Amino acid sequence: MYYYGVMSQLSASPLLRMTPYQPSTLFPIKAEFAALMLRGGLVAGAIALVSGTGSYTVMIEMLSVTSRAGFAIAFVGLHDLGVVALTQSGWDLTQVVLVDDGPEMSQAIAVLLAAFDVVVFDITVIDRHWHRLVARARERKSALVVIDQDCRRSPRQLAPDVTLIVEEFGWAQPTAECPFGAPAFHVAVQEHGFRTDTPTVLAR
Amino acid sequence: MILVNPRRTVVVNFDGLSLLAVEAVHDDRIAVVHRDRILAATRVTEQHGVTVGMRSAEARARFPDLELRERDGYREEQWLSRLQRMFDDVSPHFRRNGHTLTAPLGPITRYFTTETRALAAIDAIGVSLVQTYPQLTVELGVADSLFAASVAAPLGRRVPSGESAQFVGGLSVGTLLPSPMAVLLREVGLERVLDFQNLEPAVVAARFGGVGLHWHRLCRLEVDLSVVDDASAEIAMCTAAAFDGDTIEQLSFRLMRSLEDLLSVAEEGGLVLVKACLTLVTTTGELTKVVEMLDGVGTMGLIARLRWFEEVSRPRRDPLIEVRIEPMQWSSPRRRQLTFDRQELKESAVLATLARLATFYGDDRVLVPTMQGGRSLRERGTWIPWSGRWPLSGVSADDSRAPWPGHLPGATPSLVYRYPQEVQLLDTTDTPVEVVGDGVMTQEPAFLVIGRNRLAVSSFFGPWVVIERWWERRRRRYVRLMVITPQGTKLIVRESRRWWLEGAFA
Repeated sequence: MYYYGVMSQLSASPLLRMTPYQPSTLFPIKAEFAALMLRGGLVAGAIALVSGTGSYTVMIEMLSVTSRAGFAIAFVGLHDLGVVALTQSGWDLTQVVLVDDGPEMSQAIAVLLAAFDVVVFDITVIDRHWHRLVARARERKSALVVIDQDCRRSPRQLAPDVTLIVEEFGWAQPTAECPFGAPAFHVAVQEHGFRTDTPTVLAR
Repeated sequence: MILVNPRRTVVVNFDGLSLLAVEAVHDDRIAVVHRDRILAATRVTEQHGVTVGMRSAEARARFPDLELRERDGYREEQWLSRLQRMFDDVSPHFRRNGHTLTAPLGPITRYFTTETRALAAIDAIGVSLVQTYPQLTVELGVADSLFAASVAAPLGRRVPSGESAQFVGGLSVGTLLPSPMAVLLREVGLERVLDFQNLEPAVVAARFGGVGLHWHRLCRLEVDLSVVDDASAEIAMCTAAAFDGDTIEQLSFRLMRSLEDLLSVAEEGGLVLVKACLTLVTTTGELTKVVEMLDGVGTMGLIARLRWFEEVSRPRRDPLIEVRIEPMQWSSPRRRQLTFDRQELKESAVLATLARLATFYGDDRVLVPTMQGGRSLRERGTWIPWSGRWPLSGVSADDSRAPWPGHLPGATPSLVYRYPQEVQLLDTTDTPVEVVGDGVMTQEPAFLVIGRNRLAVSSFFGPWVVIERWWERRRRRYVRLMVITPQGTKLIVRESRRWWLEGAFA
């Protein structure tokens, strides 16, 4: 073998190293939830169902790391979502968008799936086009997060890949950091027939 | 409609360009055919009875030795470009407008000192062209607008300044107006364009609609044809006036044509519209909205935005008087370059998606978060309409980081209701809980009633009294309380002697 000079390892372009977006099949989520998932994160193209009282808080906590990692997240119909809560949880608000309530919500979700990494919406949005949305999400490698606060539908009807059930949703005692206390919850994760539980997680 | 300042315009019309493109001279037995019709014929061919507009089979029957050549559009364009370059010797302002050349006469006159000298210079080029290419006929038309000059060019007329309206008015309706309009005008005894000019605009609009009104304004020289010159200062706005019973759909349809003209003219000049002002003039006032699209916007996109704006902003359906689209900012189109940077690709995909959503569902339904100063949760963080940029900038204002007295640090519910719901806070004996003085509760809360749900209160934090603008007459005083129930923690507010649900940890 002949060498023409000293071989050195090529360094990556500084621009590429700086970009937060990584072509990934896994969206990072908060460590407490990631530890319970089989793949250690939210798989691209997966359908996640968050059900039970406190599901909005759980969703905000879970996806805060995803948002911070530079992934674009869209909410559909969740016009009551607290912006301050997103900020407190460490969301990157420059990559968040909300499509307000209205007709043809499924169509709006389908359009969003073309570019957004995660699309979050309430279970009431789901209609007869649900299976098409799922197929589109899988094709586009975007994750769908469905929120079912009142447990209106059984998970079987949606056939989610991962289900997060908020089993306990309480209030932690005030501390010096949180003078009014903070929400505390206990979540069970069901994925491919396996069920794992989190320890009590303190929000924010 | 496109409003331009009336100004002297010269139009150079070329006849015989199609013969030149197929390299036919007048001694040849050649005719140019397009879609089975004779488009142009040489002198010899015409002497044998072949005329323009005749079917090719009929032409062959009249002149069996005739050679038919298909029209060569590409060569025609090449020839026109060549001719335009020759006219550049007189003025660099000559632009192509279909198969004619047009230029504002003002700059040429300033250079040649008088209009006569300027036209003589243009004439000289035309004469030399005809000498070089005998199959070509060059006709010159001069008038006060592009429309009048275009009408004058085939007639070879040079209309003196200020007489263009009379010149157009002297023509017959059949020669100038579309045939359905001309037939109808003749039926009512209007033979000259002058009679048509004298009609009331409302009458014309009622009988002939938007197209008729456009022709009426053209004939009265109130508006002009598409501006060929790319000077953006001349492109003022597109506007459509409403008549009795006109809906926004009809107005949008009427605007579409002029808007297309406007955008295509800009496109020829290498410009795209990135910022526009939409205005709805109603009987009760004007409603204005500025829309911004970084990648430029097309006619359909702008019309869709206009219709969404009308739907959202005019709930009372006041009668419309006028609709305007005013370009505010033009930009050169952003060239898409292939890139290996995935982040850049992602951002452009997100931008395209949001623009599509805004077109489909309206600007006001695509919202982005923003942080600002304030005491209540809705004031501190809110959703505002998307401004056309991605990633978003200026999400946090400086005020949001300022220590606002009265806000509750750390108490940030996941849901903050846009429309707070009235609730009842009761004690163990179902007596409403009240807060008096500086935050003293009359009873300890035991139940929170939200609609038909009666939730037991396990514990609570507060109350905190907030007094805003205590020095002013329009001061505001309210009390906040955080209540913990089995169905989650709720943040409630007491104002005007009633309890409201402000937010919830749900």
